[in-house]
This record gives sequence, C-alpha cells and structure tokens, in this order.
Amino acid sequence: MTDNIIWGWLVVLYLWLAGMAGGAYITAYLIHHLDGGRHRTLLRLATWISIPLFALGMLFLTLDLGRSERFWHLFASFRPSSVMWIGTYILLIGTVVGAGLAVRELAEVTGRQIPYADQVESIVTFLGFIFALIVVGYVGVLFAQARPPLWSQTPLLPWVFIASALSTGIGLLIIALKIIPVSEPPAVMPTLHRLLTVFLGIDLALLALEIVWHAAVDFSAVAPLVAGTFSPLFWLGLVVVGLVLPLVLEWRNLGAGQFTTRLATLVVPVLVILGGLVLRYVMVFAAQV
Amino acid sequence: MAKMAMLNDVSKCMACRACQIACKEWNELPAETTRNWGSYENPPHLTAHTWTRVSFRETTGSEVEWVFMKYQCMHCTIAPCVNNCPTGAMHKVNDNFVVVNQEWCIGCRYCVMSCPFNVVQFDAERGVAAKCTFCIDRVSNGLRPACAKACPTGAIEYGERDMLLAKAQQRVAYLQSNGFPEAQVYGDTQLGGLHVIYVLTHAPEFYRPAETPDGLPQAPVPRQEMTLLPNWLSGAVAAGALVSAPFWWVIKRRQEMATQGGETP
Repeated sequence: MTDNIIWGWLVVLYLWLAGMAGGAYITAYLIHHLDGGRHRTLLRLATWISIPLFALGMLFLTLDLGRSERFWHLFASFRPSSVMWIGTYILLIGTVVGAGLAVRELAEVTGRQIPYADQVESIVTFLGFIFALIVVGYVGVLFAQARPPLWSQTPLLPWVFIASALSTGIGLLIIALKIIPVSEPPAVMPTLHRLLTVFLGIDLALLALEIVWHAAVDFSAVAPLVAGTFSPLFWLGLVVVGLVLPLVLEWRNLGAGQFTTRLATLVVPVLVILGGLVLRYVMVFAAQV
Repeated sequence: MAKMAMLNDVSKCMACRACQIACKEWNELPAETTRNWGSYENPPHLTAHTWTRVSFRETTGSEVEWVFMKYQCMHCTIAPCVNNCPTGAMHKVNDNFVVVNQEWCIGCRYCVMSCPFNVVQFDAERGVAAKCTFCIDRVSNGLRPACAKACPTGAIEYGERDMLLAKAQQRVAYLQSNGFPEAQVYGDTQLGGLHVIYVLTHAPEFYRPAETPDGLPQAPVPRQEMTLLPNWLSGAVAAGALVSAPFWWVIKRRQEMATQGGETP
C-alpha cells in the first residue's frame, strides 16, 4: 500500500504543525483586535506556541528533502511558476517575522525597552498575522497544482486545509490556556469554544462538499478515501472522532455553559487536534495509492 | 533549433525490448531484480533505474492479440514538472527536451507528484529525481537517442517534429483502412504538444493499465498554466472568507449579548 507513497509522514507532520501554529496565531490576533485590544496575553501565548511548532514543521520539511543539504538551491533560483518556490520565500519571510516576534517577546520578558515599542509591536504582529494566513493557505494551492485528482479535481482543498488549521489552532489555544496560567478576561474561553464549534461545523460542511464535488466529477478520485483503504480511518478517525463527536460535545457544553469542565477544555480540543492530523494523513496518503 | 521529437509506432513494435536495454547501456543504469508477476512485461513499472519500458496489453476478442507500447518521459511542451520545480533542476533544453539536472535537484519530489504520465521517478539512493533525458548527450551531438538507434523494426524514429507528425498521420490513415479503425495519433496537441508522438492502433484509454496513473490520458492533467491563477484565487478567497465572517460573527455576537446582559464583555 505504501510502495507508491512519494510524500509521506514528514510532509503530513509539517502540514499539521504549521497549520495548527498558523491557526492559533490567526485566532489570537483576530480575537485581540476584534475585541478592543484586550487580549494581548492571548496573542503573546499564541506567539510562544506558534514559533516552535512552525520551526519544527520547517525542520521536518527540510529533512524530507532527498538532498537536505541542498535546501539553499531554493533561494538561488527564480521560479515564480512553482508554488513550492513561492512557499519557500513565504517561509523565509515568515522566519524573519517570527524572529521579530521572538525579539519583541524577549524584550518583554527581560524588561528591556524597544524604541517605538507600540508601533513596532503593531507592525510585527500584523505581519505575523499576514504570514500565518499565507502559510495556512498556500499548501492547499501547492497540492492542487499536482497530479493526484484528490488534490486537483476540485478547488476546495485550500478551503479544507485553512478551516482545519483554524479549528486545530483554536483547540491548541484552549489547551494552552488551561495548562499555562495567564491573566485573560474570563470571556475568552467561551469565545474560543464558540469559535471551535463554528469551525467544526465549517470543517464538516467543507469536507462533505469536497466529497460530493469529487463524486460528481469522478468518484474514483475520492474512492480510496471514502470507500477504500483509508475509509475506516477517514470515517471513524476523522469524521466521527475528530469532527462529529467534538462538535456534539461542544454543542452540549455551549448549551449548558460548562466551559470549565475537563471534558470541554481538554478532551474536545485533543480530539480536534488529532482529527486534524488524521485529515492531513488521509488527504496526503489516499491521493497516492 | 528545430522542434525535434520521437515517433513511437506501436503497430511496428514487437516487444523485443532492445530499446530498454539500449537505454540502460547508454545511461549506465543498473539492472534490477524483478519477479515474474504473470506477464512477459518486465519490469512492471518505470523506476529510477528504468527510464523506458515496453508495456504489454492483451485484447480479448475472438483471438488473443498483444499490443505493445514503449513508455517513457513524453517531454511535454508545457511540462508540469518543469513549471512546478522550485529550483529549476527540471528544465527544458532547446525548447525541446525535459531534462533534470541531478546535481541541482534537492529531492523535493514535486516533479514526481506533478507528472501527468507518472513517469518521473525518485531515486531514493541518490535523493534526486530521475527520468529519460531523450539522450540529450547524444542528440546534442547529432546522434539519435539510444532507443531509436537500437530499434530493429523502425517503431522508434527520431527527427523533426513536423515531419514526424505528417508521417504519423499517413500511417494512421493506412492503419484505419487496414483493420484498425481506432488508430490515431497521440501527442500532437496534449500539453502543448508532446515531443514523443505515438501512432496508436487503439484508443489511448486502452493503453492505461488498471489502478495505476501510467498510460496516455486523452486530456492529461494537471494543466498548471490554466489552474495556477484559479488555485491562488481559491486560496486567497478561502483565507479571506474563513478568517473574517466566523470570527466577526462570534466575537460581535458575544459582545452584543454581554452588553444586553449588562456584563463586562
């Protein structure tokens, strides 16, 4: 089954980690800015989480190269027709922005003053938001430009990947807020749970639309996913455990207002994050068999 | 330089596989251990060490008929592997042939995932892409590709593309009036025109083995030049839509509810 696998686990892990990191940062940035700038701690927390995850993802991506020591060839070429080349420069710019975010955080931790601190913070966090947005979006475009019809037959893959990046990122923030003691307005946790509920619904809707669209064009493209080798993992691991069960639990919690129970704060986001991993795995592997 | 090409006439192929051996010899590709899998067809797939092979197909009409087809890189005019390569290692030579510079290849395998014919292979030992080079070192020096030189029946020809296309059309007309009504030319228009042209005795689908991406699709995909902009657009719209409406709706709704309830939002 795995003889034909060209892009394997390292690519899956990159997609998962970078998507989750980007999703967490985007979520924190938007909550902070749409809610009157009251969630700076959440944004800082997201920064601390996202940078190492993103760096780990990039390490996996580099290790996945057949000749990792030649990675610099990517920067010695001009290939705008290649989404991967564009993605490489996005990641390079993102690394610089990430370094800027890290410097800002270090200055905060060590108590050192940065000239024009507010303006610098505003610019760097905005650039971080734009970069995170591009990172979670470009991979879908990259895959859609390849041969496997599961990736290229419909234009929905970027949508599926971005929605999953956001739901896993929100899940990660919920876990982080539960584990790491930070002072945030109490309303932040219900907001995150509502967002998670909304994005689980969006994930499910997009996945259903993707399958129906594929089936309408050529069912064989999606057959390994929904009726073949990967179907048990797809239906049980992704749809049931990774999406429907968390959605039902979240819905119940929203109705009861029980956002502080262990079930709501840990089990649900863990299921969502694992579901995100399963999504990447089945999407990457099922297209290659 | 004139547009050059190769013509593979399947009606003349007798599956001697001299082309396979000549390719191995000239390109110093090692032999591979294979197992009998119930067919004379061997090896069963292209690999990093087998850049051309003859596929076997059987018709199951009133009598068994073998149909053979030499299979290798098609050297597309609009080559997805070239367009997608992030380093330029996969490139065009003289606007004719698609060649991979293995000294510059980083082994990302995007070309492998992009090839509409499933031809580009990954050499796991060397960590780079590998495929037919159209014997670029031979044709650059006025020689025929090794496979064309070795072919004993004239099934493989090398020459100017326009001339070979005209010859292919004539051959197809002859075949159609002599027992092969489905005979047709393949490669004249696909992906901007292939530099490997086929005279087929059957419809292209006939040559596509079950459950593999190998074969000659009537409309090869991906067509990057047509999908690049729509895909970027889809990504941009997705990013914009998914980070705007849901966040705005959830946060503003909570603020409204908090205001109505007299709470601190």
